[in-house]
Amino acid sequence: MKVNTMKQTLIKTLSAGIMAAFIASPVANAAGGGVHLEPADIDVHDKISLLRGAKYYANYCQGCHSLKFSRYNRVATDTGISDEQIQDLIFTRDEDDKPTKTGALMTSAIPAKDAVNWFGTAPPDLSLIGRSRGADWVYNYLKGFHTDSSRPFGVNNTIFDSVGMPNVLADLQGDQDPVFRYDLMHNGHVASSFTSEEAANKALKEKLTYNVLKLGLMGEKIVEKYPTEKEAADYVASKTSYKVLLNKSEVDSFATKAEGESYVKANPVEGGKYKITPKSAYSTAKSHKIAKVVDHLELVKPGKQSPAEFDRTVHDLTNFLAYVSEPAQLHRKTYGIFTLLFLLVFFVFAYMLKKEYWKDIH
Amino acid sequence: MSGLVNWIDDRFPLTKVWNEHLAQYYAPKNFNAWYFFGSLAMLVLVIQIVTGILLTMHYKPDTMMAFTSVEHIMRDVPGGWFIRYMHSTGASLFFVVVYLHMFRGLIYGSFKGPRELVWLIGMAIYLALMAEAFMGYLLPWGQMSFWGAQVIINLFNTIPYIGDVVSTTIRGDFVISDPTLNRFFAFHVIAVPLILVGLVFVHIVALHVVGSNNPDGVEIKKLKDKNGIPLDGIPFHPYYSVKDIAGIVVFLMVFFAILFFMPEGGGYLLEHANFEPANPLKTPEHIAPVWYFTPFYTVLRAVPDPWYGTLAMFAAIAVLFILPWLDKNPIKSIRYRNTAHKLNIVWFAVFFLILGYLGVMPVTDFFRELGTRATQIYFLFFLVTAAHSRPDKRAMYLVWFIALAALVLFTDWLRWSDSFTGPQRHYFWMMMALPATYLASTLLLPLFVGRCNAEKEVPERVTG
Amino acid sequence: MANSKVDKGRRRFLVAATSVVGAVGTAAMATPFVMSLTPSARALAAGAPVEVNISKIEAGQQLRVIWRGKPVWVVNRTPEMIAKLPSVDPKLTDPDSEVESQQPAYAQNVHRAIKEQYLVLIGICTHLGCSPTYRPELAPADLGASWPGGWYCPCHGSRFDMAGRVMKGSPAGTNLEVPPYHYKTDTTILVGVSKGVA
Repeated sequence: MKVNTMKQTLIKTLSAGIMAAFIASPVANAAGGGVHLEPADIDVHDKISLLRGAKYYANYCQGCHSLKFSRYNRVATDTGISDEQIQDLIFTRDEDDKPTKTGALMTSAIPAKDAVNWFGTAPPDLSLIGRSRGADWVYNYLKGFHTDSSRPFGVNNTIFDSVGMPNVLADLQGDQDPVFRYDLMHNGHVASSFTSEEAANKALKEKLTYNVLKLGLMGEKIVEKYPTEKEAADYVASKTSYKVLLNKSEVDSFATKAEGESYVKANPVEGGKYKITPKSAYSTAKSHKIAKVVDHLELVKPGKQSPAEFDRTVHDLTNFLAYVSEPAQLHRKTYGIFTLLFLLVFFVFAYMLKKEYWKDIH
Repeated sequence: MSGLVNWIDDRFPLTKVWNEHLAQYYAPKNFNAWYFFGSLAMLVLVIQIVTGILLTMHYKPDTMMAFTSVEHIMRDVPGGWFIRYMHSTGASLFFVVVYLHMFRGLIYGSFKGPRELVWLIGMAIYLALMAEAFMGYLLPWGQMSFWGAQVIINLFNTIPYIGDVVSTTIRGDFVISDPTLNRFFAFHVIAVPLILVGLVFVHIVALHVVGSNNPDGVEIKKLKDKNGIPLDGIPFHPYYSVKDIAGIVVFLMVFFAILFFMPEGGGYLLEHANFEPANPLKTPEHIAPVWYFTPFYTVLRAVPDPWYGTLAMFAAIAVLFILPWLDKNPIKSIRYRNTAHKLNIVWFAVFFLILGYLGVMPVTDFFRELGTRATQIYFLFFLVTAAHSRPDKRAMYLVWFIALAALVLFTDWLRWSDSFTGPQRHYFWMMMALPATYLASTLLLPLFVGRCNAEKEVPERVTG
Repeated sequence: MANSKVDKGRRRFLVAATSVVGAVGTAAMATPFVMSLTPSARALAAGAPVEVNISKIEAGQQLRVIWRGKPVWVVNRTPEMIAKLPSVDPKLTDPDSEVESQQPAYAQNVHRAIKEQYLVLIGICTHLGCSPTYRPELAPADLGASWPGGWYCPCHGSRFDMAGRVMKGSPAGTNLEVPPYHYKTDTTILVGVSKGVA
């Protein structure tokens, strides 16, 4: 076991070193962009975990999602069980209505046509989900279901918005309610976070210039109402001269526009801001936005498994899917170590040979 | 044994070929590590052909089966994953090796007379290689295969008047579909490889006529001993054959380290989205070409007008062809050139890498402007190279500087738009410092600082 | 350096050693290349054992199934057919099934079967690979009065008796092959694997 751990550390260090030498930063997984993912921390060499994962997959996922590039007997071989034993995981039947053979591909039980009728789309094959989305994504996705009464299946997902499938693991996991957070976004980055919408709105108002607020114009509304900067600017300009800002008698008390402006300057409103140009109002409004995001999930109805048990279940499933996405990875690195050691020996001889011949060259 | 050789020699010039190209091909004795990349490119070509043939035995060029057949290779075919990873890793390393090989030619002036034709043939190989890689990338029929090909083929759409006809003819359909896949397969597995092998053969024959250049840029054929053997030459075999074996082993270590430990190369060698089957209805969120095309992809994106962008992209490749006629400086090797030239080369390498990096990144205001500036410097490099042809005419540097600065300002004026947003304006002005610094360091520096214009005397014979 | 002599022995050794290591490496790399030419998991899956329910085969009838892409016949022989077998012996090339490659040891008996009633054969002529026609009737007009029932190959006229044994004068030289099989239950046989082999 210890040797194994050492080997893996070595592999990880080696891979990281090579990675660093070639590539500054890995390309983000297409789907993972921007969302923080909790690391799945899987170990595809943990055969017991793989087997449990395979079992959960057969029971909870394979009804709809095929693994159509994977074969049962390959899973059996790779997890160290016999062809007889893997038959316990075969719930599908072949065209002769016999249990699917162990050498067969792991298709799903649901005919694609029915699936389209039921879900609006065929549930995707998951043979390669571990590579296209990555293990971390799968892990977070499976744990990310939460109640959302606006969705057809009553659930949504933290990392897959408007998810089209029910939470199939709900009986194990229980139900989770989302606890929201309100992020004040500035140019796509989170500037600050708030627990209530009011607090976020207040902070946004503080960012926006006073005149706009006084007119009851939320920055965002300007943006919504007036699609082009020009239109918005014209509108804001028409409303934010000091004549509008002040009541009529006040305006009349100033002889000139300059006098009025200096009065406004001398009487700053809260936040110390008084001056607005149409352009700045528009761009401040456009660059700020409140985003309602799920901060965390709260278990409101326990399932058959405790949170720790459920975490292990999801971990096992993720592990299995990561393995299935590339079965060769079980042996790949071992071959790699032997190959590199061999080449090292080869290099010693080749280098000595070169040295020997080059003695002739002066 | 010798009887057999004699028998063959009477019918085929076996011994003659062996001697001319190996045992009595005299190569300069001062090759350094840069000179490994030629034979490494040959090695990778062999790897690609052998693994490619084996993959062809299992791959199916059919839109319904292509993706499945690749996964079949990865899982069901014994040793299939190894062969496939060799091919995918080999594709990327082919470009690494070829880029380094080309850079070697650039710094040691190997493209200059009498080796212009060697350079031209080499550029033709590079073009064929790009076509080969592009068409090969469609074959796995993943999302990136499909959408990458979609974007590149649509470049031809930008050709005025006939664009539609051209791109439709390339696809054999109005969308990328079965005929496209089938013909790309045909090109990838037979047409282009035949051309490649032929060109490589001609490349070597041409090289062996004029002889190899070396890090000193000295023509070793000028000084020969009484037997007519170059004083600084050593037979390729056994000296360079044993040296190249050692180099090949080191290369294979890198090759197999990638293959076994990180075959996806962090998403650069095998892109994540390509593990999803091609779906003509859904574009991936972020499309980037494979890394070896990205410098030219950035050039494409730097020009707002699609047709001119396409032209710029092809021009960026085409300009490499005429390098021998731009750099007329008689000194070949960077070792004896002036500081300004060295800076010019460093700038070029740095900005080529920047162009490559930007090509895989999503476009932001900052990156777009940097890409435009890097594109300007990429093209300026060739003109500055021409300017450096005559360091003895120092006053000309000023003329060049003014002309090139005017060129930069002219292109900036062309692309300037009043609709630039605040950040765009900001980056526009800020990054004007890049071409300014570039031109100042390569043209004004040698103009005003004599030291930076001084060239060293090229020795009679090779050093070290 | 200038006066160092060439150590020919050392050179020879290093050339040999590097060549050997290089050859080993090349062979190691070529191994997966060659392996990729062998049957894939898909081919092996297609060749997986086939289960046949024999209870539905009527007496004297032949059932065809596919195993490894080849036709496999299962025949429910009538007692008359079985009784007639020894009488055909003189006409046969190999009456006692002595060519061992043509059947597993457990089928090397007079009936060429585990249970005499059910004959299992690979339905491919041992001559050039056609699939012979089942002709159980005795003495039909086209095959002549001496026809004892069996298989007739339409391609080149090879004749086989009701145990798949080849008759003298046929182009085919050996008996029809009996595939490995065993009885899973009394009414089902598994074609493709012998008893006790996983």
